[in-house]
Amino acid sequence: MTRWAMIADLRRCVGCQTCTAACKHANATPPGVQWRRVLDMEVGEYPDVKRAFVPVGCMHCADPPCMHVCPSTATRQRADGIVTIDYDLCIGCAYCAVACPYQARYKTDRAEFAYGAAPMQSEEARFDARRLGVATKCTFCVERIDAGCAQGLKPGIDPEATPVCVNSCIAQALHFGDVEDPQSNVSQLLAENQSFRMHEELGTGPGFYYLWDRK
Amino acid sequence: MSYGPQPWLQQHWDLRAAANFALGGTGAGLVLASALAMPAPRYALALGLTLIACGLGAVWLEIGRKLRVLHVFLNPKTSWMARESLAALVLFALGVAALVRSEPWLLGATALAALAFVYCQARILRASKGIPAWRAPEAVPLLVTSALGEGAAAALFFETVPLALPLLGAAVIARAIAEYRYWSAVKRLRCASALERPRQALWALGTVAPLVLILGIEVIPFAALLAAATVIGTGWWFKFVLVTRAAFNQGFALPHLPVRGAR
Amino acid sequence: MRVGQQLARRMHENDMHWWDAQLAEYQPLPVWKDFPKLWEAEIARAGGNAGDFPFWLLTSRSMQYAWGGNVGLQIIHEVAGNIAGHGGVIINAGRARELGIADGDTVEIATLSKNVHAKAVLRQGIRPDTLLLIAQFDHWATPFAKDFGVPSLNSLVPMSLHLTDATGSGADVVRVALRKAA
Repeated sequence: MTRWAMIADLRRCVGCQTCTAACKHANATPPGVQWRRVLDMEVGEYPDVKRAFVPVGCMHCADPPCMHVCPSTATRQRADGIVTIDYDLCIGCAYCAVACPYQARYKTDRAEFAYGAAPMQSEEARFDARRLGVATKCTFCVERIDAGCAQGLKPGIDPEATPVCVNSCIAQALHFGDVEDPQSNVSQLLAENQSFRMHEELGTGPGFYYLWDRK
Repeated sequence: MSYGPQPWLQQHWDLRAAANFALGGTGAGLVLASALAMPAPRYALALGLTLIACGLGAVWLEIGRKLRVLHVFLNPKTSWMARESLAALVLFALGVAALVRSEPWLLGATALAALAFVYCQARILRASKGIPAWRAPEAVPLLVTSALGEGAAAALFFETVPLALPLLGAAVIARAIAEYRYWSAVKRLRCASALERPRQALWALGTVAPLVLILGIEVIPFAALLAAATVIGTGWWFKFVLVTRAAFNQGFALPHLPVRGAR
Repeated sequence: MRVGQQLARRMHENDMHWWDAQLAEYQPLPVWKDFPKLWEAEIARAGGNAGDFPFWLLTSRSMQYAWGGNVGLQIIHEVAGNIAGHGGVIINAGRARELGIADGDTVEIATLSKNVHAKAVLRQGIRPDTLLLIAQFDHWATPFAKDFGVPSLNSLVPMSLHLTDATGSGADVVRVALRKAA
């Protein structure tokens, strides 16, 4: 079986937000909506302070709380682990948004554009009314994965089949692949490095791993 | 709007969602109280159903795709919101039937449906894994007992039947116990400061005061109505704050920091 | 020190003295110059008291904005918002608390002759005697950036030959006073 997962190497992330911007650009998300974003976290008190940059977004959990609470079955989980939203079924109740422990979901009620009321040409071209008033979130660029797999490409290895954030990372901090394949890039990274998942104690089984040290 | 890393107040559910819990809880409690305590609860029953409908109407105003509202019934298998909607449907059917034909079994079934409805509401919050103040298991009995208390209180506005006062007294005490347990679970969380004043009100005005008023009902003028007002008011305020002011998410946490430098 | 001494000894042991002039010039470390005094003297020259301007205001380049060519892009403004400091002046959290400044408060940063207002961004990773203004924005007239309301160090740096070095530049450092704005 395939299970797609993402890895963020916290030692390599520099907080540049290229992935944040690349995701916004590729998915044409409205202002304020950041399906992928990088947090600037400080830990400790002066002078013993440490700073880490932490990419976050939908974790595509194995046991997604958002899916259980969704009253309309708009939020579903594919066999390969990707959690999807059917924009046409969603009623925009935002129950999934408050159920998500990773604050990964957004809902935009009104069309908003970068420079006020009027859209730029690019915004007009990419505007999708189906995404108004419904929940939206990181999709692991599922269209790219599906299209790529159909052509025999490998997500996480071949850029055309890989999520845009992973491709765009300037520090090679983001990785994507099949965790159920022991030979995959992500499996090898997890075997060689110490890792954790966010809010592990909540039992959601996130599909997003953070590397923090060699083994 | 900052999206972390510190926890922030959820912005999705506002007064309209809080109104659903407030009006729905009181309405369901009123349906229950009227079915149990009154001989011919026509008006009380009708008001209870109306309150529930208003609560659902309020939350309908909040959803992004209002015309798709029927999709809310599609996932009763796992979603407490879908189950709440179904419970409401059953409750309205039974309730309207009970209004037409005031038979005991119909009233009893309506009361059960009302209980199921308010239980589903409480479970909605419990399933919200993103909000620590909501997902505490102790929130469920708190919301249910508050609904029972508010409902019994509302019943007092119709007639002070012998069973209504003990019902109110018992519910108010049960609510206080539930609140104590809930507070023990959440007092160390970020939501605690927002809940301080509503909980003080719930104890002083919403528990002690109505009990005193109930005990002194023979001598204190308007005692029943005052008790009813305080029980309902404190219940509504608590729910409003819980949904809109205490609803912080848990932010983000790093159990390990990255090890810097070449290794 | 040790390396210079060792070289001198090895050469002298071999009766080589033709490098002695260079050996005398050898500096293991540069001689410390009292740079802070330059700024304090400048304040005194302007008629002020250095103690009234206890903070060292620095500036830094933002990774997202770099040289600022993209200041007109809303997407950059939005993603830069995820990195601390883009919205105002970075202050040590403990020091700010001592001054009664909370995160997001408007503060006044002042020299003897000029002042600017900025929003306080409280962080741990900065010295208590240091402030940091990331932005290069208040000299831009571009339609989007001019509304950010984020000041730069440029408006506070004095033009002074005394703070100009041999290359003709000055360091991006200013001694300032900080207080919560009324």
